[in-house]
Amino acid sequence: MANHVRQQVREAVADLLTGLATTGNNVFQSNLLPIENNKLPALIVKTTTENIDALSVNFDPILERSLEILVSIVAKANTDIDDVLDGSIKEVEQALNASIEANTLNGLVKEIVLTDIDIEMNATSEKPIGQALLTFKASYYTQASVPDVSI
Amino acid sequence: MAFTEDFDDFINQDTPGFVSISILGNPPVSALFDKNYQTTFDVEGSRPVLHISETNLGAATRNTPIVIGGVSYRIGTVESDGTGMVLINLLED
Repeated sequence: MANHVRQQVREAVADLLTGLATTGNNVFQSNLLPIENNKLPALIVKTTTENIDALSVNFDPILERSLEILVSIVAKANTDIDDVLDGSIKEVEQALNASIEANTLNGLVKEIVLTDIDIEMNATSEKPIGQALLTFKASYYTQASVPDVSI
Repeated sequence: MAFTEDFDDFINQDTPGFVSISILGNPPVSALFDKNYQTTFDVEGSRPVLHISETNLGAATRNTPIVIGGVSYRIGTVESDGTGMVLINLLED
């Protein structure tokens, strides 16, 4: 039995964003421990809230699902940290919209749409640190009894 | 009668974190250095700070370089506590 589609989505997004120019292989999923300094700049991919609507009232309905994907870009730099974050945002957006295959994670979802970008910076660390938080919504469908297969 | 603290009573070689540093090429002065672990935005880091008297800080301001323990820093913010002591947030070069 496959993993839940939401897990498949998270892993597919992380795979797609691995190897970008700014963040390279520093891509983490739902990390519990803080990122080490030698792994920066980095991307952190999380799947969080999921809104679900049943498309019918019968037993085992088709579920319309909207999954929130958070992509956090974190970087430390003495100068121009906003440029580092903006450059990485560009790479993430381009990667997820490079093709229909990328935007649908090879058919796993119907589409992925960017809904929000939030930037925060902090200078109380040994170097200025910044975070860009990108919120995406992924739409997909499953049968209620088969949450591991996108239809 | 005014009460004047002698900061050297609190900042000396017996005080944890004591450092003797030269600022802007002036003779070494006494200060307390602290570098606690902290996390920000899910990232590991530290917060290097210097406790020093305003007198010993002299003309140093934001971006003034300071070397502590062989590590190069520059002054980020200078927070005065109103008693003649300041807390300096340091940024690592």
